Amino acid sequence: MSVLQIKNRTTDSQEEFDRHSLSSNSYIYTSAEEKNVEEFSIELTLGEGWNDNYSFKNKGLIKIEESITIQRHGSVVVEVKEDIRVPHNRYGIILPTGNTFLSWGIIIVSAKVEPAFFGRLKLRVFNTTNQKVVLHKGTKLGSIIFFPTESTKVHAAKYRDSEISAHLPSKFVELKKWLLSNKLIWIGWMVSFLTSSLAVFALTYVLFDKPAPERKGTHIQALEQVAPTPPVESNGK
Amino acid sequence: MIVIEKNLEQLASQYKICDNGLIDDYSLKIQLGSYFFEPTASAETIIYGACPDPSLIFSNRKSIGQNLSLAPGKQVITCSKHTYKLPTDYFGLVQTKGTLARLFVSATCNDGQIEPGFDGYITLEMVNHSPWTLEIPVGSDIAQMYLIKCTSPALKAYSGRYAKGAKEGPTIAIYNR
Repeated sequence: MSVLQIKNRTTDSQEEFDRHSLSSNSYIYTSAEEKNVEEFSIELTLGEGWNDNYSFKNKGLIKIEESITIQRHGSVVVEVKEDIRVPHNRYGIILPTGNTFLSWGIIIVSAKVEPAFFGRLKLRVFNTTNQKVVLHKGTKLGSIIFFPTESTKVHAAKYRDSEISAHLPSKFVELKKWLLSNKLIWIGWMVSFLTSSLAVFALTYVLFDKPAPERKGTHIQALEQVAPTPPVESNGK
Repeated sequence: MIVIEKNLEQLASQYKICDNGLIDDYSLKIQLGSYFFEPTASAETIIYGACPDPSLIFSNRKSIGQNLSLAPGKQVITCSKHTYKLPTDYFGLVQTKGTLARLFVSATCNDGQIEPGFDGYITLEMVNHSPWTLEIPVGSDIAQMYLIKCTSPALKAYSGRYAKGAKEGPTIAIYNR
């Protein structure tokens, strides 16, 4: 098994790609710039969309204006800029780029790209450092390499792409998102607030409140001072 | 790795290796062409490597009318009916068609090799080993070429001593002097 030579084996023509997608010298379709097509790999760069709260329920992407910020030890999902189409007899693997990791501590998770895939790949990008990292559009995130498959089977096309929203989320949505993603923090705040309130109440009670019987005795004494008890008459016994 | 079926079909179409009608499941058909050379009877002894004048040992190029007639033990140098153009990362192996082989005729004397980047007619050294005279119509399927993937593309396309002549038909021996 050998890594496929990519240089001069790519095309940006859909028609040409389709016509030879079963050939033993099939083309890889890509919209990558020439400088990003290397001898044995295609470089993947930061594209137009991202989501810092990606999940099964939230797969939409938000448009990147200029750059994105990844919090320390945080991760986001981004879409790459390059369109990729894999022929029926090639298998792709996405790998992190050493330089990006060494320089900024940014790493992506390896992933597979199956035959007949087409679309833009989504990658989860991790910030492994203790500082925020800003990534600009076009930043190199990883590379994709291809292997020839042992057999050529016609696979159903697998399309992957995302709707990218141009609208930034409202403050309410951001707050909701923050609350959902930082449950431990706000629950901690709530618990701290309640416990401190209880502590203040308890302290006040202990310091300034007196027991009930003592209060009753004081009240009687006060009444006695206001109205002295009349003398009791003796019957001479 | 021998290229077969859909891989072969689309590869041949991608690089315009040959006419689409010649693409078979596992190989590319080679059909009998219209020209041939035959050895002359005048040459009695040839010392290999002595660079004999080809005009003394081969006839002039002749045209095959309708059929190529091969008497028992007769040999001709002929070629394919069509041209073939190989990519620089594929190697061609020529084999006699099985049905012709079962009549004891070989389409090549040496299991012909077609080098990466070759462009032209494929020369065939046909020999009739049978006791019969055979009539082979022009355009018959007489051989097939298997394509083998090379480990890497050749740095330059085939440009050997037969490269130029192969564009015009069968090539007879050319000796380095």
